[in-house]
Amino acid sequence: MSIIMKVDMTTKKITTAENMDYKLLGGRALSAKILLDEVAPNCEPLGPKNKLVIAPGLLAGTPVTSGSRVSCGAKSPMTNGIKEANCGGNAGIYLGRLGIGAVVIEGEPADDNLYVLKIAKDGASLLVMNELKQLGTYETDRKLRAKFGTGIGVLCIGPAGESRLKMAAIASSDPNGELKFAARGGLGAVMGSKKVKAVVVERTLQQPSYHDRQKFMAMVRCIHDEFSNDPKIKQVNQKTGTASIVKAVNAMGALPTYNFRQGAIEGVEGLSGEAMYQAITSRGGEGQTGVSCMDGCLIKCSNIYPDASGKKICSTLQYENIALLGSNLGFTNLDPVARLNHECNDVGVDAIEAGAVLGVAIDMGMAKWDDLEGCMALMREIRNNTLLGKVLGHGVQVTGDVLGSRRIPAAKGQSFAGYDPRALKGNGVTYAMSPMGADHTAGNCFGARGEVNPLGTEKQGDLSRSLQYKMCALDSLGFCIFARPPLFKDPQKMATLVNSLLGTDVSVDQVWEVMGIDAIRTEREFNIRAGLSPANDKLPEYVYVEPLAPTDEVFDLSEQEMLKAIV
Amino acid sequence: MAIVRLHLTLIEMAGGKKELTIDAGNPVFLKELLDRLGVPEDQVGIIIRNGRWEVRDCMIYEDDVVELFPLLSGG
Repeated sequence: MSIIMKVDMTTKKITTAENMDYKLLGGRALSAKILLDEVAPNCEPLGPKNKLVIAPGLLAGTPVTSGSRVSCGAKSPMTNGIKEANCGGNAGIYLGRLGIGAVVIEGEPADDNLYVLKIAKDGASLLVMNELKQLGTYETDRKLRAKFGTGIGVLCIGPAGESRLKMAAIASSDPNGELKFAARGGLGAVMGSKKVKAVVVERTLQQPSYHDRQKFMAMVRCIHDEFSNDPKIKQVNQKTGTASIVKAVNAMGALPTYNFRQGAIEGVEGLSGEAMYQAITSRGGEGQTGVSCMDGCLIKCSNIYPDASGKKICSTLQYENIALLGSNLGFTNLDPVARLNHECNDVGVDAIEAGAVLGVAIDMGMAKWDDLEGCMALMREIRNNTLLGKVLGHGVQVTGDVLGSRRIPAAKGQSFAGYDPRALKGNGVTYAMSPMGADHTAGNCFGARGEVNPLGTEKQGDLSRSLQYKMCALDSLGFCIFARPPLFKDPQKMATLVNSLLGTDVSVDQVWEVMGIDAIRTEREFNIRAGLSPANDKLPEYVYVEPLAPTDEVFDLSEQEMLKAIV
Repeated sequence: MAIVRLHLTLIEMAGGKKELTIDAGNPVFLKELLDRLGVPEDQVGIIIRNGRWEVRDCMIYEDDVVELFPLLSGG
């Protein structure tokens, strides 16, 4: 998987070349390397010098479960540093099967056309499709399927990406025609700045070329057996999905509530995974749990959430969105959360960032708590790209700055995810110290096997550091972070997969080093050259001084503890 | 009395019990309570006692409210 496809949007030329230097790199690690090698860290994120890298994980296209995620990377307009966001859907599988390690979209068209990049077995082409202008992501996906058939993977942007709003996301179509998101960091705005509405990848039956197919498949079977025999997959992941943790985070006092003013909410039951499961199963109709987000996934933690009549509102309801669009906005019922989530998806914005934006906006008097109509009115401003919509659409930092808030829940310009750093201090470390900014997927300390007290002032730096490089290795291989139990229990499995695929002889230590540690160091180097780190390796002032109910904790880790998290 | 609430898979492990009221006039070891309920202690991932994180080795005192969650990881 070392074929690099370059798509020059200035000249409209597409070239491919093999680069053996990248042989061991995939997903996030490859994206980081290409960006450091080719992009000036001080460039304008939405200008022609930035590049959008679309890189499937190293194992993408193989049948290993949950192992074909696709990374999108660029200099982020949100953080002004390097960013990677990955997602499910089938585009990663199809890119992997074609042997493509990365698609690098660069330059900028001089014309006003809107383009679709189509990648197939017999080559790639750029098509002018102005009929897609300003369409929502769902309609865009539908139109592309109508034109190219259902056997495609789609990565596309909504109106927010075309308007180059900083919280614009990239949507990825899944096997059920639903959308997943490489949401964080405004990568949809980078795609929009290249005037690329969508990347369409044709399904091929072609398989990756294996060095030792038999050994690879034996390991795949071993991993799949472990998943099949794990009762938690059926009892938790496929029932209540990531929403399983709503009540636990609330009990810890870390659930974003009323714009991060509290860490728990009265009536949390209504937002819980159990309530979600109950609504989906009792309402029937289009509702469903145990839905996969990419072909071959055995975990199936996605869902389709219906209204009272059984008509689909949104797929999928996830913990982070329930926290940011739910308790953070004063809701204790999943129906308004699902409606807001669907609107975020269709406009094509990061639902986490949008929840934080709406929280600050409500706090500053723009709407009320528990006010779906007020929130939808603000979302319409974003969709219509009005002046207010531009302010909100540029994310929580810009929104808070313009509205005069001194409580902006962001690190490196990007909103906190679904954990208040005062009651889950390890995530505060990750938010501040990771090259990714406030992104929980960069090293989520929630549920760290009960080993580290989330309120304690010790061991947080080491915990964050360890999780950061391990999560990064998963991102680079293409694995979903929920695939980690059998992989982390015996990391040799990852080395065996890599070696039998590529014919290499890497050790477990090298897997962590090349795909995790080196990748993060590459990212940090980019951020240092961009002037982002170490100056911005910190949290906003209010979390250091404002106690968070009900634990009454502030973020009180020493600088020394924070520095331990540097990979 | 103390209240102990179980969540998700722990409910089934405890034979369907969601909430228990226990006499904790004499403090109770959590591990012993789990043993009595038939919940393997290594299946308990998050323990919150009176709103704060606790270790498995903790004791439950009179008037405590304890929430027990299985091993969970964030998304």
